[in-house]
Amino acid sequence: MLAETEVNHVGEGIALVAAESREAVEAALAAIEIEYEPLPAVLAMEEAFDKQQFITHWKIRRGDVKAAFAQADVIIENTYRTPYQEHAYIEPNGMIAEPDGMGGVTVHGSLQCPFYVQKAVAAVLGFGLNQARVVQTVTGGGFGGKEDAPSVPGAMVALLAVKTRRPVKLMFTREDDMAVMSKRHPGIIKYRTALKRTGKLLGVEVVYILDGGAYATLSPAVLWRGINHAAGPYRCANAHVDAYAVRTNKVPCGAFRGFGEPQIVFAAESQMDMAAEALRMDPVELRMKNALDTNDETITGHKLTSSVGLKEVIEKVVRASDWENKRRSYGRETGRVRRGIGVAACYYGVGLGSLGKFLNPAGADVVVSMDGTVTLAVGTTEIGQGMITVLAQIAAETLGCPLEHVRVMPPDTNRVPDSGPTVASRTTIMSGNAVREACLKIRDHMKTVVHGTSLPWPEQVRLCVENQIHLAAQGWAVPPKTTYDPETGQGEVYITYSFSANVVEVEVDMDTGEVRATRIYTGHDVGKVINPTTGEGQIEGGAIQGLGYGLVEEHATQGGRILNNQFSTYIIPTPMDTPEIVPIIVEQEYPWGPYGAKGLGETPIIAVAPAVTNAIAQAAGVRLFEIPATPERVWQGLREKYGTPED
Amino acid sequence: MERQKIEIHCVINDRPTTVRFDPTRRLLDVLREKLYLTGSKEGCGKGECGACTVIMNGKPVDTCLIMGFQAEGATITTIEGLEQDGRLHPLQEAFMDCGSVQCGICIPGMIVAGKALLDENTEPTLEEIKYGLAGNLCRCTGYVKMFEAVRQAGRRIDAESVGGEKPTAAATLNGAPETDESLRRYRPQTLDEALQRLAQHGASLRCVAGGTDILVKAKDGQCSTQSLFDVSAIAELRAVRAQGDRLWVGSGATHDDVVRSPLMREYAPALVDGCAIIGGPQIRNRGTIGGNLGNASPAADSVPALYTLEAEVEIVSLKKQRVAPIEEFFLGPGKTVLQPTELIRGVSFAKRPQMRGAFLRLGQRRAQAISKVSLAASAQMEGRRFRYLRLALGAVAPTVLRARKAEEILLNEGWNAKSLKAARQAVKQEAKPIDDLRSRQDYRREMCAVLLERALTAVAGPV
Repeated sequence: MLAETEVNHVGEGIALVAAESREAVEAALAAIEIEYEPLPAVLAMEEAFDKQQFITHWKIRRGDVKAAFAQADVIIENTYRTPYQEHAYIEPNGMIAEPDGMGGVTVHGSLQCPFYVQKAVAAVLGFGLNQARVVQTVTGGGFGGKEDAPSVPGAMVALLAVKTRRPVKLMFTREDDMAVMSKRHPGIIKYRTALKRTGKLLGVEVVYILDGGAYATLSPAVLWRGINHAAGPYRCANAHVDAYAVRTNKVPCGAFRGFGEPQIVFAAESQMDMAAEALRMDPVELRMKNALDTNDETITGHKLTSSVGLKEVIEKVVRASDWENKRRSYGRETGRVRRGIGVAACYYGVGLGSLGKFLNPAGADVVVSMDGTVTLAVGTTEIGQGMITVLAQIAAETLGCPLEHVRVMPPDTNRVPDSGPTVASRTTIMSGNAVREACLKIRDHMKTVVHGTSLPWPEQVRLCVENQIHLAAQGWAVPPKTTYDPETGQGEVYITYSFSANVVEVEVDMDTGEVRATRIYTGHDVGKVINPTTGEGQIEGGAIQGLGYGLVEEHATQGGRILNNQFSTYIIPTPMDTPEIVPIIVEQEYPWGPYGAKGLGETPIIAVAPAVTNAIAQAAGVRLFEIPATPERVWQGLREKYGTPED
Repeated sequence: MERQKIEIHCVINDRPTTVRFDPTRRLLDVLREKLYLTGSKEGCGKGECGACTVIMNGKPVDTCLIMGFQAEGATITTIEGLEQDGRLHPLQEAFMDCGSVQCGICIPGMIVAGKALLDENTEPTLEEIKYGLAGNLCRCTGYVKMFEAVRQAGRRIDAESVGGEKPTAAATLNGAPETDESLRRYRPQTLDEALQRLAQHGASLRCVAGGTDILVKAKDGQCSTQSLFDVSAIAELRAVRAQGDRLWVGSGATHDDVVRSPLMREYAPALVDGCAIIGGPQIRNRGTIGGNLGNASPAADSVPALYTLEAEVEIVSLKKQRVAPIEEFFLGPGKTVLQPTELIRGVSFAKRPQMRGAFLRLGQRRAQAISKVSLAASAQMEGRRFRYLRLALGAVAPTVLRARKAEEILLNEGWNAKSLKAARQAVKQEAKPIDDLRSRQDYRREMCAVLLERALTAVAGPV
């Protein structure tokens, strides 16, 4: 929690100060003098890679890659770079702790994963988990940034509260939050793709490097998800992939929506477009030829037996966007502002998969009160993604009660068993199944006195109360088994997959290199959409975060310090930067999911950036191997291709 | 050490309100911590996210960039004031119906900004909605369901004639106690009062008007909020008017005042363009011409146009008045000729008939952007010749820069392909850009030529 002998990155905590006013805290901080002895630092991820400062190394060894490349008609080989991405939740991190007067401590805070904070608090204080109670407050955005990162401030306030025997509050300023909290890992991806003339993807050879920063945090898990999706949503019988997270003396990177996929998917989907160009094939056609379908195997050798909606998703976005006409006509533009249209696809293993299996289950506690109102407690959190609505719907549907009767309580580690983190697009499927199970148990209890659901709900409850029926139950969802062999990277690594494809239209200003996205058609196979409005909301929000990632968002560092740690210098899209968005939902039901649902939180962000750069390539004839596609980078590409204006 | 508390009187959510607080507190702190109006949120403290937006005197503003004492006498509507007689405002209903809310932290500011927009126009176009909400950031929703909610709310207001009316002014401050004497120390009512105080304590005071720069610096620890001295209550500084054959813009005129002024639209179109693109609505409603000058950023968006209008800066102190041509006013980034005892009273420039103008800039995004490079052009045309032409470049030198060589070429040779080419070359030589966080030197230099061509095409037509 605090550095003891060595500070490994700018912003690492050294001491804690609590006081009664902000002014007093600032005065106390100013009075602390620290003498540093400079130590050698490794700042560039290339240097860390060369020095083999590996946090983790994962691999995939599938088929015979040498033979695949030997048979290839076309080989595409490139190196890609992706930037830091800041979560930019509008509410910075904040925590309050108070001693509970019974030898324990209660922490309230803006967070995604109460059980992570609970473990951190207990570890720092030497408490049992039952002395460390964590309650989530309404949380102003997370996107992965409040997955493990809040554990540190949570433990800090808990320690101060226990030491001072008083409540303690810690609020991050925006500047501190951006300077020291976790971010999406910058990446370098060296990618080789082998294809037959027919368009068949023969194999891939990839080296995937992520800049983990000074501490491991979630880098192994982020990297693992990335490697598991390294070839994109395509059949790929031969693969040789090495993935490394490297240690540098910079802010630790961690979870961010997409979790290691956006970086490698940018590379994989750029490769597909260049392959299509080399094969003189339409980019959609090439993708359709290789798209995963029922009974196909993923790059980890996972045979997909149900709920594989990729082709349907691609077909629908292609139709909605009028792809064929636009692709034909946009390719011929000659004006100062030129239009382009691009496509990219991805898939996403739902839930934690075989790496996180001890965190996989989720619980729910459902109580029907005598008046028929329903109280629902779960261990996953609402962070804007719509969990409360979705779980209330599942409870109402399963119990047969009016939706307005259901109240979802703020997550509290004292109330439900450890339900794992609110990440990995797992909440609808895991907590949803737990809620459904608890509600089915209650219906089962009710069955002895209530036959069917024809009576009005309050009437049913009254009958049960009169007959002393137990109107409460707990649910516990344990997902189907997954497998993994770390030597080959093969296994049925996730329970199921969501699929997505985007078509993006852009306008490129050939003089300034400015890129404006005008439309995003974004399709997702989510199994079953529990709430179409919140589902669309996830898709639209992810599309704009993905657009920011593709066009404007990046951190600059100097000497390991983040230079642009405020909203005027870390640029996220404003309302003025927002294009038309057309969300498309496909429902190929997943049998184990609640009402057939899979997950939707993350697919919306993953394949936006490559669709943008693929569209830029068509519009301007400039291929970008690094995002974001800033005007300066596009302009550089235009100059290299067309030369400088004569003036 | 305890500072002496001050007291202000204002109308908040239709209720006359008196509140005492430490003079270093921002309006946002006063609302949240003194009045328990915690709907307004702090997402950045620098006027960048809009989560703390309220409507003050009819305009959306960021309360993190307003000192508490600056709200003396104001009429304020916060998110808590939108509900009327237990009924939600149509915008609140529409935000729920359209699924416009995800995590919720930006929503109070977003809805208040939407209300300010609908108070003026219940049938905004999509582009007007985007422009009206441009001062508010949301990271969850991708905005589109908010646009739809604003549109629907406008229709509901039209249909029901409820909720969208301007503040009723039912509650006023009539009969309220006199302004606290201690408050006048921070907030003089007349220019004389201000100048007297500056004459005595100028070196230890920092003038604040819109607060859109100085309170950002205060948050970064570059100045203390204890030294702030509010000149925004001085009515005469707010004027925009004709004065004989010149036009006069008070230093306290906001960017929004300039954009709305018919005089400015007619005689200073480049300045109107520049003011219209600054920040978002909240910044334009508070940020002032005097502030943009005093802050002396080479990337200031109202300044290049003032160069092209050959504006003069009127500087006053208790003892004397002086006038500085705008090019002599700036000494470098953040540096001007202004002395601690002096105030910028306003700027003036000649009233030239049939003035055409344009201000173009490149930023990192389409709103709330700091210019990477900008160019203002003001011109009077006689056929294909320029009777008057001034060009100024922003963000490519330590101060804004006149592009004199390019002007000379165009004034001599008129508007044609040859002169354009020569002017493009000249302007690239005149710029002295650097590499920084926002852009690159070579890009900026090249873009000076692109913006020159585009601005001149806008004012003079195609070559």
